[in-house]
Amino acid sequence: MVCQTKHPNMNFNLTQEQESLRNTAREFLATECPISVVREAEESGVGHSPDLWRKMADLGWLGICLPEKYGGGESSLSDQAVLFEEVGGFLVPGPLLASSVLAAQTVLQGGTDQQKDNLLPGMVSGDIILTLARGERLETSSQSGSLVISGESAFVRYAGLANQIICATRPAIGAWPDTTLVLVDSQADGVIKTAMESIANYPQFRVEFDDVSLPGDSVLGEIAEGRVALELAIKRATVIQCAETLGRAEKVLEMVVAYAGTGQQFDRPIPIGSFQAVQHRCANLKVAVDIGRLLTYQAAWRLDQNLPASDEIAMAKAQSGTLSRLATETGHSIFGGVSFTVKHDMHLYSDRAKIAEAHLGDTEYHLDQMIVD
Amino acid sequence: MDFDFTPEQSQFRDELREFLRAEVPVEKQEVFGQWSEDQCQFGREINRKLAARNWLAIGLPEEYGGGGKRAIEQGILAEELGYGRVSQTGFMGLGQYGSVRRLFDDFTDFCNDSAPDGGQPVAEHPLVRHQLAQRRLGMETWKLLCWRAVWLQSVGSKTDVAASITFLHGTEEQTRFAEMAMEVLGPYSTLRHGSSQAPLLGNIEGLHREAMNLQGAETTVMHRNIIAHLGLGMPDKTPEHEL
Repeated sequence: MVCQTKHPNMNFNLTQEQESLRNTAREFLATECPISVVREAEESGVGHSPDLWRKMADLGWLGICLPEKYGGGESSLSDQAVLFEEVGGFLVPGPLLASSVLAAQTVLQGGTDQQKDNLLPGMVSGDIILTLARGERLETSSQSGSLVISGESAFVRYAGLANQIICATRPAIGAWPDTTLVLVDSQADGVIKTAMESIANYPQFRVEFDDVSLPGDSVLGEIAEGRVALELAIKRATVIQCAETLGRAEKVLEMVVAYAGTGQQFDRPIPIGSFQAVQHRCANLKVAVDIGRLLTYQAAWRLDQNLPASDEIAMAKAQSGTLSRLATETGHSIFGGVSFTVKHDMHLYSDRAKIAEAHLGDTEYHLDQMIVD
Repeated sequence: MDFDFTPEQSQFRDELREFLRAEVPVEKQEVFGQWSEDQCQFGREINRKLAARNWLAIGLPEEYGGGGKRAIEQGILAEELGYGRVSQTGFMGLGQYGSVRRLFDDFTDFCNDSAPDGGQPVAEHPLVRHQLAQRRLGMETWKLLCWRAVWLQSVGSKTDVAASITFLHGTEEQTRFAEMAMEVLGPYSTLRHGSSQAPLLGNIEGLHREAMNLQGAETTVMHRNIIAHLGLGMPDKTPEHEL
């Protein structure tokens, strides 16, 4: 599945390898990630299923895009998008996006050879979980010869589970001119993690760093040179999150169409799917799903081809937010009042849709990133 | 997936652009909502020149005198003719996209260049900038949908649902753009082609009228029905005992 340079030729199909990856993922998740596993992970408050995590590691999913020398699969971003459509559709719990995509790519793009050797094989095998903390108020400084991090970061995903936190610290005025990435042991003295109670019990944390002294090799890469690595990792994670959102919206569409075919209104003997009011809502979601697929894979394809992709990524994520909202609205309006109950599955989809919409920049943010001249 | 043309297709597109730059003077360019005999006549002249290069029926088999290429090349022709503002009949889809896209690009330039109060350009206004971004997203989406439909045709797959999705999105996007542009232009948006004060030759006003007319070529309501019935397998009529 290595991305090969070949003669360009328009093609909107998945490759045979991608089809087979999708089918394998679908079969595996249907067995290993039924809705009961999703609910269990949510109710535990940890948002994780260690058993499922181990099995996904065995399938090579945690390192699908990483180089072979770290145990990775060397697949393209488009391949990873195919996988994440299924991950989204099955509401797979765990730090797949946070650790295996966002943090792993930050290490791969920004770390020294030594750091990559130390971290990536463990991330591929599922033994090491990393997460990323960003924020205006994170600052590293050099105090009497040693590196110290202070400040706080909100919405750090899976901080409770992560072995280490990669902190993207802001440039200190008059000192380091640009972003510095540092690795912080999440158990170190002075690292205070407070759960932010979220919809879907989503594991988001506020993390405070109370002048934490860092060992010598804590800087990921070089001081003040973290920006490029961070930006590329965020771009890739943004596309993958779009694929996840797409998969979730596709599943909602599948669920509502199936329900509309059988659900009846009071004692009328015809399914509600016969009504145009219902059909047109489903048609609107179908259009948005198709658009989401085109925009997501266009962005992934451009990154795979090393073409400029910022504009296409912004378009994909801007639409992804709209798609999330439409899927939520369509689902709840067709399932009706019952979908507001905890027993019904629809809210599992709409809660995660909202989490994804707000993560890595929402629709308005990405519209602002688009070129308009 | 692969979103690129072959080098030969890119070359064909570049040659077409050059041809249109040379052959279509500004005063002959089509204006939305005009349908003048003069412009139709000019369109026929261009067609003859295209035919002389065997570009007009580039997608038809060679045994009938066509160019022997695929739907992709026919799509490139349609998009470029639309973008070049050559009056055409028989080119729906990409041709429509091309002509609306040209106006959108011109309108974006207009917003970047005009500073009515002598202050900052219209496009710098946060609300306008935001709307331009939204509409460009809609345009890029329309283009992708068009090319997907053309590609499906080129490989001999069914295109019914993809075509309806494209038409539905395109019609609505054209309307959204026309309304947004009229909002930005204010009362100037009501000036017709021919008025010396009409911005962009009155094209925005014409586009707005045409957007209403598009509903006549199978309405968006019908396309939603098609998507629901053929695309999602939902029932296409009420069972008889209900009637």
